[in-house]
Amino acid sequence: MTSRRDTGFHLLRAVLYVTAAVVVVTALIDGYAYYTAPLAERPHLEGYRLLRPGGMRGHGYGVVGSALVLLLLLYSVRKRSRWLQKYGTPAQWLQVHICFGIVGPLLIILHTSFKVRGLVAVSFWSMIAVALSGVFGRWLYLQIPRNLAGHELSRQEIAALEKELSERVAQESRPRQLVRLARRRAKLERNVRRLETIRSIFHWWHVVHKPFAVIMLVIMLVHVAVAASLGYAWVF
Amino acid sequence: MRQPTRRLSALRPRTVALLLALLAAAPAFAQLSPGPLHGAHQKLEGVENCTRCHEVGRKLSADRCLACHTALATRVRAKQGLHAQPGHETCEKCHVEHQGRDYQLIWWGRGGRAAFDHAQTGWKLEGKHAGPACERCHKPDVAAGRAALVAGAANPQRTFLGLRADCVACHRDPHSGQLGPDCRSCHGLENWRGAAGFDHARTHFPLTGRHRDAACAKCHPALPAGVDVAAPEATAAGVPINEARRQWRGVAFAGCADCHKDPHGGRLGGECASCHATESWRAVSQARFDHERTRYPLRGKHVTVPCKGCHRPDRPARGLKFATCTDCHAERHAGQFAKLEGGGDCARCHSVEGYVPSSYTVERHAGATYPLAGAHLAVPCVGCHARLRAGAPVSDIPFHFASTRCQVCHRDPHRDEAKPWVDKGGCESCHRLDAWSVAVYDHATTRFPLTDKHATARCSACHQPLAPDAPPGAIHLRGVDRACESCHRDPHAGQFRAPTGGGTACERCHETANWRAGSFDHNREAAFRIDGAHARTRCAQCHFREGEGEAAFTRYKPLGQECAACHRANPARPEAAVVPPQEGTP
Repeated sequence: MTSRRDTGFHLLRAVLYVTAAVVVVTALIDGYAYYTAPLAERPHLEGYRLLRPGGMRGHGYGVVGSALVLLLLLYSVRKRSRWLQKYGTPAQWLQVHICFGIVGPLLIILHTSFKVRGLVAVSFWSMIAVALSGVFGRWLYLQIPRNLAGHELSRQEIAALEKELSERVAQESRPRQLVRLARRRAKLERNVRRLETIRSIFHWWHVVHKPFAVIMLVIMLVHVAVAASLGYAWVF
Repeated sequence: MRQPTRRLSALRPRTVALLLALLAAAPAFAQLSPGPLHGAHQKLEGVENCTRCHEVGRKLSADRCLACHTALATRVRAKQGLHAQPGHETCEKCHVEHQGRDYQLIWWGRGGRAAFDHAQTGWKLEGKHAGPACERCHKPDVAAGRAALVAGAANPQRTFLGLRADCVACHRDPHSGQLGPDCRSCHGLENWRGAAGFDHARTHFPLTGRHRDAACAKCHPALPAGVDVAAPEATAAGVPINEARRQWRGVAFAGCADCHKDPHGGRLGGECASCHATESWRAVSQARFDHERTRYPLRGKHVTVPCKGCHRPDRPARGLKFATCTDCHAERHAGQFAKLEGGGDCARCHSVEGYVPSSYTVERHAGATYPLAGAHLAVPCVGCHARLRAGAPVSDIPFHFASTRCQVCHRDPHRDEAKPWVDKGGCESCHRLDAWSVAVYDHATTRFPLTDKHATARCSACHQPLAPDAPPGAIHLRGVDRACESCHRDPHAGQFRAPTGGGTACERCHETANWRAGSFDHNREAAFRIDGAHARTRCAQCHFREGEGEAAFTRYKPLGQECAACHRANPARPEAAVVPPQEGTP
């Protein structure tokens, strides 16, 4: 049952990625002439009315991308409250968080039509920072030592493992086995040190990932509010 | 190594994040704009000014634009110009903002400014207007109401508004304001030159005749340099005065002499139109022109001669000579009279009443080298003064001859047969001037003096014509046979011809006084003596007629001398007792 649900989730996630890739690639190909044109010439190109940030399609990219960005924040909400705890596993939420964190910014890049300036540029570059830090965080997360089940090892578990290895080294007289054990112990010690480093880095990764997310969010909301108040409400 | 990490970790990430967010957001709030505005709108930068252009809930609003651009708004409300046209209600279609200070704020369309359809502005560029660059007309110094434009948010240095529609706003008025501001009433848009629309007929001096072809400058003089007439605006505006400007108004035209010089030197008065019309200076109206006022009043035939007869195109229009006839007329006598006193003045023989008849009368001919007399008086002039060749010009007519001999005019009908007499005494040896036919020749000087009837006979009765078709009088003068038979027909059918040959001696019986044989003595001449009753007998009783018609003749000889030869029945008088003998009669 659990396996079938996982399969369904993976399929859904694959469909999401493929759809997003198709949309983004199609949009890039279709709007290539517009996106690669100098800014000064763009207002006079054919795609201007459609692809500019306020255009029907460009604005749509922005609205959908922003919606995805807002939705991925539910991951943080779920982490911090009991609400939504009953839906899905943390790993699935993270996968959705990552998926939306990739697709949303891509759509917003299309929304900007590669023209980034003004206040909303701060939001944009914050978004880029948040997204890149997310990728970096994901990589960092994969560096955490894991047991055979794939779960992260706790400090105690590592200490016990280290103690066991020390004892086995002391008892071992066969040189070959001794070397193997020594290597395992050395790797473990390396992992222990990396875990320390990763924990330290993760402490500061949050300092990057979260505040930029806040900046992005605040300015984006201001941007959306200003645009909407001035009548740029897309189809609404 | 781990010490700073620990110290840093003492800070709460949430606090740091908030600080960073505030730090980043504080300056960014001032940049809510999606991009810098154009330099013209620079003063509208700032969050507080968004709604100066953007209307809450309504995106961009043309009303907001026009709220500042009142100069344009005024025209839009008046439905004037490009921005009042359908399809131009949305400002940002052509004016894209937030693209930078120096961004080209006007979008002219795909073809650029050069391809802009100016007709949309309500001022279609036609003719030569279609060519020049925009700046040729849209210049800051020609924009009207500069202050109003500035107040209406239009930059006089850049705006296309405020251009005056009158031509002199852009064009220099070469007429210096003389002809008013409505240039289009005369000039077209295709070409300034020529003033195709100008109609001189609308002026006080409609052009007629040759005036239509005259160059403007002929009548409209160039104004002297520095003189400025009726162009205070032009000079005040600093428009340079056209060095080639002309006086278009106030040109005197009351009299022809205002433009034309009087070639008559005032002799004919100042009323040119009394003779001339504008169709042509030379086309002088005969009906109106009074030649009496000229130095050559027309007389005689000259009155009816068309003007062009003398005033021909190949002659000078002015200073036409008229002192001698040959100034107009060809000298027709090939200078034959040039040596006469007075240089051969035509008036010696001709008058203006007509070339012919000549006034050279017979009486005047009496004073010539060859005075006319006799029949010459009645001979027409051309009898002697005739063309030497058929079809020859009049100048071929001779009026001076090498001699006065008759042969100069007369042909010799005698074919040199009269040469001995002519050489000796000329034609006058025989002829007189009174008549050709009256010859005064003394025939007695010849070997055949004329007597009696011969003296009254026509010459041609004896002198045969020189040729069958010779004219009367053209007769042989010499070699005429003197024998009677050469002229007279022998009515006796050769009865008296000498039996030995030769002629008939007519004179034995006849004389020249008459035909009758007055000198014939029957008793002397004939063999048969007449006496007795025979003496009283008529000749015809013995000499009978013989033959028929033309061949009939009277028989004189031979006649039988016996009685019976006569005394037989006379066929003419059957009752007569005496009748001529009849041969074969028993």
